Amino acid sequence: MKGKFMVAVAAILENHRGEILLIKRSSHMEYPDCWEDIGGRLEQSESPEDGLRREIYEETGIEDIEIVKPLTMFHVFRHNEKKAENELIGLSFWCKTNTSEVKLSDEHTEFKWLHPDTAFDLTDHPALKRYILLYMLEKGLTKKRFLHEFEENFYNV
Amino acid sequence: MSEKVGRFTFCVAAILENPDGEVLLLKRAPDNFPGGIWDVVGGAVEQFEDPFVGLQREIKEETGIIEYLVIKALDVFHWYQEDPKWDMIGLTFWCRTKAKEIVLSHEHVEYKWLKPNEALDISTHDIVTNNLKQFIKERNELNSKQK
Repeated sequence: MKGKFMVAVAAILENHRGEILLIKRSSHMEYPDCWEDIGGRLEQSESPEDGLRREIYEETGIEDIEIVKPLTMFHVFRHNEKKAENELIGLSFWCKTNTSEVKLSDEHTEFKWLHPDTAFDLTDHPALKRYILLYMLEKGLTKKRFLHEFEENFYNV
Repeated sequence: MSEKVGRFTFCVAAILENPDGEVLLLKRAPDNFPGGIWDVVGGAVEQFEDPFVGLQREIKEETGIIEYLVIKALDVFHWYQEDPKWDMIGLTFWCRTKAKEIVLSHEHVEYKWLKPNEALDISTHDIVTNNLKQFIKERNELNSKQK
């Protein structure tokens, strides 16, 4: 039986210096003060690429975006509750921009452009660590495999 | 905001490559919409199923292949028809396998291992064509890195 899922799109957004953008969640939100990548859930009938551009614009004000390629998919239950209505599959993409200026929405309080290694260390989020590693592999920045989940799903070429 | 959040069918697909650099296409059965086209391996993720497990299940159901390696994500696709309840989004992966023997399910009537350009020539479906183009691009990039 086919499932029905919410679909989220997320971006590893790279600037012209090869740094990637992390943003810090507001203290009044779920997972307060966590550093995360940019992204959100798709609206009905919205294409993943349109949704990605909309989310990047809403969360950072950045409009000049090149979507390079997808990196992987992820699977979560929102609010940590295993119910069909909370089930979400996400797609993470590698994106590029020439803009470094960021205008945050009220969902976030801080942003940082970081070397991918530093970004990897800053986040506590296992899924985000995994996309950063896949991004680094795509860029030829590392050949190491660090994470169990990563080894499970991907073969390092 | 949250009332606008969509609900989608999510598909996982694989371009399976063998050691000779050929890719596997399956011909869909006439009653398996869109019938008769040459397709990549894949299908819809089930409720409560991890999508990587869904990929494994679909590969096994449609080809009998159990052993393969996921090389990388290739291409995101979507297929929206008039009624949004059929909205479908999917992700295609490049996978490698040494398995030669294919056991088809009732969903397909024929299979072919093809050079990527031959696969492009017989593809009549936009999603499959885009998946194959992305595979060729990524494979060429990987080959040039490894030289």
